[in-house]
Amino acid sequence: MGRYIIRRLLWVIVLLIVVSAVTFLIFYELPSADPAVIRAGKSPNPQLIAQIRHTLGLDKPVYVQYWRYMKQVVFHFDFGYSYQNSQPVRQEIFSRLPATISLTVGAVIVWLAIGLPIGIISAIKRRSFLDRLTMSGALLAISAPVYWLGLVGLYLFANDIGVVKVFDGAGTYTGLTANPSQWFGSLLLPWLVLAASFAAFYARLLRSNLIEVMSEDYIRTARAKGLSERRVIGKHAVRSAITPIVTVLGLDIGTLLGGAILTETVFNIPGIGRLAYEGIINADLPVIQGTVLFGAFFIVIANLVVDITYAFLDPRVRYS
Amino acid sequence: MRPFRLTLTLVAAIALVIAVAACGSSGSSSSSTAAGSSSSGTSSSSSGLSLAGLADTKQSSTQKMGGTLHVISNEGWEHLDPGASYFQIDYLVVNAVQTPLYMFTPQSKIVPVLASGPPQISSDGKTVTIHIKPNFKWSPPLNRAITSKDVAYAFQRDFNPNVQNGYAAGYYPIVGAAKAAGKPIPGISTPNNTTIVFHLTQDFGATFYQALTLPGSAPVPPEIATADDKSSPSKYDQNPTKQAFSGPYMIQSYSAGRNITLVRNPNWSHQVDGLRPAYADKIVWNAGADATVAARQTLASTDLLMADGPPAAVLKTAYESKKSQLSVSPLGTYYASLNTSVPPFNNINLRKAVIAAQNREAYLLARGGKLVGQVATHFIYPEVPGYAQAGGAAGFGQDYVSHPTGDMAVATKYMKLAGYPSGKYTGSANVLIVGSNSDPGPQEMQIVQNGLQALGFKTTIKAVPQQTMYSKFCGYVKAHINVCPTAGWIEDFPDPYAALYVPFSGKTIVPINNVNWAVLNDPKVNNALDSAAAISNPSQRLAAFAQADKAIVDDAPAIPEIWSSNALVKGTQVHGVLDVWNDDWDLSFSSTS
Amino acid sequence: MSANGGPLLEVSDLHVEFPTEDGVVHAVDGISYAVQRGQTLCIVGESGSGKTVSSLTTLGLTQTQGAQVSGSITFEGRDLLKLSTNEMRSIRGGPISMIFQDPLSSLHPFYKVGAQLIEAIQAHQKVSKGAARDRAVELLALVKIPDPQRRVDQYPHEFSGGMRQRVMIAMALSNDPKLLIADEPTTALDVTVQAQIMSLLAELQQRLGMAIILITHDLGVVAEIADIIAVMYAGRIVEHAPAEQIFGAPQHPYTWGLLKSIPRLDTPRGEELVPISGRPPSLIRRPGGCFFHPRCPYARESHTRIDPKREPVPGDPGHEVACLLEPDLRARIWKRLVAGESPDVLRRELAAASTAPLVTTEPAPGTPGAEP
Repeated sequence: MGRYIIRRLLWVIVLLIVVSAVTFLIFYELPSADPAVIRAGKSPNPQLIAQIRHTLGLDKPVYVQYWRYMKQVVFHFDFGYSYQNSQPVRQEIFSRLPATISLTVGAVIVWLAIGLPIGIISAIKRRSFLDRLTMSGALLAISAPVYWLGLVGLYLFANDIGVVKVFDGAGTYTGLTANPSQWFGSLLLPWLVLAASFAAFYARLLRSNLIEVMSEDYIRTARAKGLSERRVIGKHAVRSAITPIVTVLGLDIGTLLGGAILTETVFNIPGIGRLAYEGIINADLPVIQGTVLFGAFFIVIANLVVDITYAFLDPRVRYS
Repeated sequence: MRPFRLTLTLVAAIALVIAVAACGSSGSSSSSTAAGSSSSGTSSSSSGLSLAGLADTKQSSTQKMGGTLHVISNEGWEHLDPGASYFQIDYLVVNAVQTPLYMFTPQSKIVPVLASGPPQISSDGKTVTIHIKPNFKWSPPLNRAITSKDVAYAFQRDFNPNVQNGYAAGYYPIVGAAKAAGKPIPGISTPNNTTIVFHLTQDFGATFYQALTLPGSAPVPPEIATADDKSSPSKYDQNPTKQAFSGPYMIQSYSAGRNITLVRNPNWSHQVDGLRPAYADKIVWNAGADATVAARQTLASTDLLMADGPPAAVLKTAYESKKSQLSVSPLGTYYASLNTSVPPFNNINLRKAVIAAQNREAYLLARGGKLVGQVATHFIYPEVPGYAQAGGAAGFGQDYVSHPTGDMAVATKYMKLAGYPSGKYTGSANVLIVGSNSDPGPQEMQIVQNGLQALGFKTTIKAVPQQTMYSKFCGYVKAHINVCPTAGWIEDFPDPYAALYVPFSGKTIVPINNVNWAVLNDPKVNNALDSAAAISNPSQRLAAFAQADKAIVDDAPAIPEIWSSNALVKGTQVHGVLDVWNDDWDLSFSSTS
Repeated sequence: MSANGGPLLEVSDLHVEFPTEDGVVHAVDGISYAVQRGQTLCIVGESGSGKTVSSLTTLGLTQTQGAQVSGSITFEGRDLLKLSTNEMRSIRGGPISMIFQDPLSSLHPFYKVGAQLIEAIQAHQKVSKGAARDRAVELLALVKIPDPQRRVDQYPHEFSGGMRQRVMIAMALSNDPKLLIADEPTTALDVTVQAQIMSLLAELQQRLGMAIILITHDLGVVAEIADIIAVMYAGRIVEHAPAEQIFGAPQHPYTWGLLKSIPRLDTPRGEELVPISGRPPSLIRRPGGCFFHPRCPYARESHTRIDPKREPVPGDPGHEVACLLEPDLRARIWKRLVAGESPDVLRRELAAASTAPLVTTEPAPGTPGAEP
C-alpha cells in the first residue's frame, strides 16, 4: 500500500506538470489579449510595451517562461503576481481557500444528510407515492441550473431582496473565525442551493444502487440468518450500495474545492471559483495558472484519497 | 480612454464601453450624471427620453456629516497605487484617499486641490509652474507636510516601468521623461518645497493642466515608495493599506476583488482641501457581487450605492418603478471606423456615401433603445465640455449625418462624386468588417453590412473576442481592417482633447495597439487639434475643439453610431453624488442621508 | 410443542403465486410433502420447477417479494404461514436454516467471515461477542476448514469456492438447526469439491441429527444421502418415493428423463446420455392436462385434457406418482429404457400398438426422431 501511494503521488506530480504546461500552451496559442498591451494603456509607445513585456518576462520564448514559472512554483512555492491587480497569486489563493472549503464542506454535509435518507427510503418504499414524489423532485433539482436556483433562492428567501425574509442574503459571507454565527447564517442558503442538485443526484444514485443490491444473494443470506429487516438494509445493503458513492463523493469534493464558480458568483462568496473566473475574464495568466493548478491538485488528490478509501471499504480491492 | 468595467479592455479600447449591454453582468459602468441634472453644464442631453423622476445626484445643502457609506459592485479594483490607477472603479477610491494637483468637481469644473491655484503656463506653452499648498499633511504614521518633491517623485514613478502607468506617455510630454525609466526626470524641478516646474517638449501646457487631474499627479512619499518601486511590479500597489494618504480617507483594510474599508484621515482638513466635503466617517465597499443580485440588493436597500451598472433587466424594472433610485447619464460614444488609409475608403466621398446610407437608429435599437443613448452626429459627445459648442445633438448639419435612418438620395449623390455614376459601387474591393463576437457586436456588423450592400459593396464579416478585435485587428494597423463597427470611446478626463485627440489625430497612430482605428491622418485635423490643445482660455478652447470636431466630421472617418448613456442605482435614503466625468459616484461627496 | 411422533415439517397443499405485469406466475401449485426428524428429503427438478420457491416460502422469504401463499407449512406443530414477522424471523437461521447455490455471492463481500458468523449467532443467542467468536471458530472447525483461528478473520474472497460453501454451512449450523435446507449446494462447485461437500453434509447430519431438505436438479448427487425424493415439475410434485424406489422403479417419464441424464461410470462408452427434450412450460400460461405432456414421448391425446392426480403406485407402498400411463405400461417402458432402448423407438412402437393415437408433440429443435 505504501509503495502504491508513493507511485500515485509521483503520478500526481507528473499530472500537475502536464496540466500546467497545457494551460500555458492554451494561453499562448489562443490569446484573448496580450497582457503587456493590456497593461500599457492607450496609444502606448512601443518602448513601454517592450518594457512591460520584459518586466513580465513575455519577451522570452514560451518554454523559457514556462520553465521560469515552474522553477518559482517548485522552489519557492511562488505562483507569481496577478497581471490584473499585482497581488501575489499564492496569497490570493490561500486567502480564498477558507471560503471555498466552508462552502464545500457545508454543502457536502447538507447533501448527504438530505440525499442519503431520501435515497434509502425511496428504495425501500419503491413505487410508493413518496418514492415517486421525491424522485420527481430530484429530477427537477438535478435539472435546475445552480445559478438560476441561487437567484430564485435569493429572490424568495433572502432577508434583503427575498419575498420571505429567511436567510442572510448574498455578500454577507464572513470568515468562520471572524464571526462564526454570521459565517453560518451567510452560508445556509448557498449550502442549500449548491447541495440541491447533488442531494438529488445522490438520492437517485443510492436508490438505484440499493435496489440493485437488494436482489443480491448475500441479502437473501442475511435474511435467512434471521436478521431484522432494519439490520439487513442498514448494515448489509446500504454498506454495499454506498461504497460506489464514496468514489463519486471524493471526486465531487475535489472538483468543488477547485471552486464552485456559479455558487460563489451568485452569492458573492470570495472563493477560488470566483478568483478563477475573474482571472479568465481578465486574461490574467498567473491567476488562471494558479487556480487551474490548485483545482487539478485537489482533483487528483481526491482521486487518490478515493482509491485508498475504496481499498478500506471494499476488501476485495487491494493495491500493491 | 481609461478602462471601463472590463479591464481587459483596457487600453485601447477600452473602449468603449465595452459591450455594455452585452454582458450585463460585467457591465459597464457607469455613468453618471443624472440626466435630470442638466445643471451639470457640461452636458446637455438632448435625447428625447423622459428622465423626469430620476435620482437627483447633485450636491445638496441638506447632506449630513457622519455615518458609514456602503458601496457594492460587481467589479473589483485593479490598481490603487495612484501611479498605476487607470480604471473607473479604482478612481472612486483613489480620489478619496489621494490628492492630485487639480481635480474636477462632480460637475466637471477643474479646481486646484493640492495646488494652491491655477498653473502659470509660459507663453510658449512649454513651461508650467505650480505652487502647492504648504499645509497638506500625510496621513499617520508619516504625518509630515506634503512637498513638491513628493509630487516630483510621483511623476518619476509614472514613468517607471515597474509602476506601469497607462497614460503618462500620452498626457505628460515632459522633457526627458520618456527615457527616465524610474530615475529623476530632467524636465521637472522643485525650486522649493511648495513649487514644482514642468518643462514640456511641446506647446501643451493648457492640456497638460487638464491632465494633472489624473491620479498620476497625486504626491507619493519617496521614503515609503522607493524600496517598493524597485521590484516589478512595484509592491506599492500590492498592499494599499501601507500607502501614505493625502486625501480625506485612508485605506484601513483591503482584499483584492473582495472588500475595502476607508476611514477618515485625521491629518486632512476640509479647509485646506477646499473641495471635498467628505461627509461619511467610514466607507465600506464589497466587490465581487453578482451584478443582478447586487442591483436588486441596492434597489431594496436604504443605504447602498452600486458602483457599476445594473444589468438590463434590473435597469428596466428600476426605470419602471424606482426612478428615484436610478440615474441615467451620458457616457461615451460608439462609432464604426472607416479605414481612410486603404481602399476603398481612402476615397472621402465613398465614406460619406456609406455614412449617408446607414440606418444609424438601428445601432441604438441594437443596444437597447433610448434608455441607453441617442443617435450620434459628431464626436464630442454630451458628457464632454464643448458638446454645446459643437452643435449639441444636431451637430454641424452635414447632409450625410443628418438622417438617422439613412438617406439613399444623399448616398447616391456621394457615390456619383466618388466616381460611381450608377450610385452603386463597382470596384473590386471586398470590405472586411471586424467586430466583437459578443452582443451586440454581431448585430452591429450586420447593420454596417446592410448599409454597405445597399451601395453594392461586397463584404466579409469577422467576429472575434473584444480584446482580440483590438489587439489583432482594429488596433493593428497592418491588418488593414476596413470597418470596425463595435469600437467605442470614453474620455480620460472631461476635456474635448481627451475625446478627440487620440482617436483622430494622425500623430497618435502607432503600429500596434493603435486607437486611431480610421488611421485618419489629415493635416487639417491634426493642426486643428494641436492648436486647440494649446489654448488655455476655457471658452476659446472649447470653440477651437468644436471646430476640430467639425473638421473630423468633414473627413467622414467613421459612422457616428450612438452617444451612449449609462445608469447607476442607489438605495432609497443614501445621497449619492456623481462625478459626471467619471460616470460614477464620488465617495467624497456622497453621504448617508 | 410438537408431537414427537409427527413429522418435523409438513407441507400441505402449498400454493405460491407471484402476480406480475404479464400475469400470475404459478410458481408452486399445491405441493405436499413431509420431512421426519433426521431424515433427508431431496427435491429434484429443473430450474423453474418451483423447488427453490417452495423452500424460501418455508423460511418466509417469498412473502416479502409480493408472493401470495396458501396451504400450510407445519413445523414442530406450528403453522409457519400464520406466524408473525418476528416469530418467523426467530425461526430463520434458528431451527430452520438454509444454504444457497453460489457461496461467493451469498456471503457479504465486505465483511469478514467471522463477523458474518458472529452476526448469525447473535441473531438468535444472547451471547457475548467473544463467546460468539469462539463458537464461530468451532463451527469453522466443524466444517473442516483448516486453521480456523486465522481463517475466521479473513474475507470471503480469500476462500476457495468449496471453502466458502463450508463457511455457508457453518453459518447455517450456528444455531443448531433441526432442519437444514440446502439449495443446490454443489452446483457452482467443481466435481471433486461437490463430492466433498456432499459427504460433509452427510457426516454432519449423522453427528448433529438434523433433517435436511436438499434441492437439486441433479439426481446424481442425491443417491447417497437421500431418504425420500420428491420430483418437481412445473410447480407440482410429480413423483414422491423413498430414494431406492426412485432409482429402482421410477414411475414418471420425467423422472426417467432425469435418471437417464445422469452420467454413470458404468455407462458403456458411446452410449449417449438422453436429455429431456423441450423446455419447461411457462408458469403463467401452463399447458392443459398433464403439464408434462408437451415433452412426454408417451403422451396420448387424452393427456392434454386430463389433469393427473398424485396417486400411490400399486404394490409399491410409499411411492406416489402423477402420471396417466397405466402402471404396467410404465414398468415395461422403464425396463426397455434400462436395457438401452431409445425413447424414440419406444414411442413409435407404442403409437403403432395403441388404438388411442399419441399426441403429436411439438419437438424441440434437434430432438432425434421428432420428425413426423
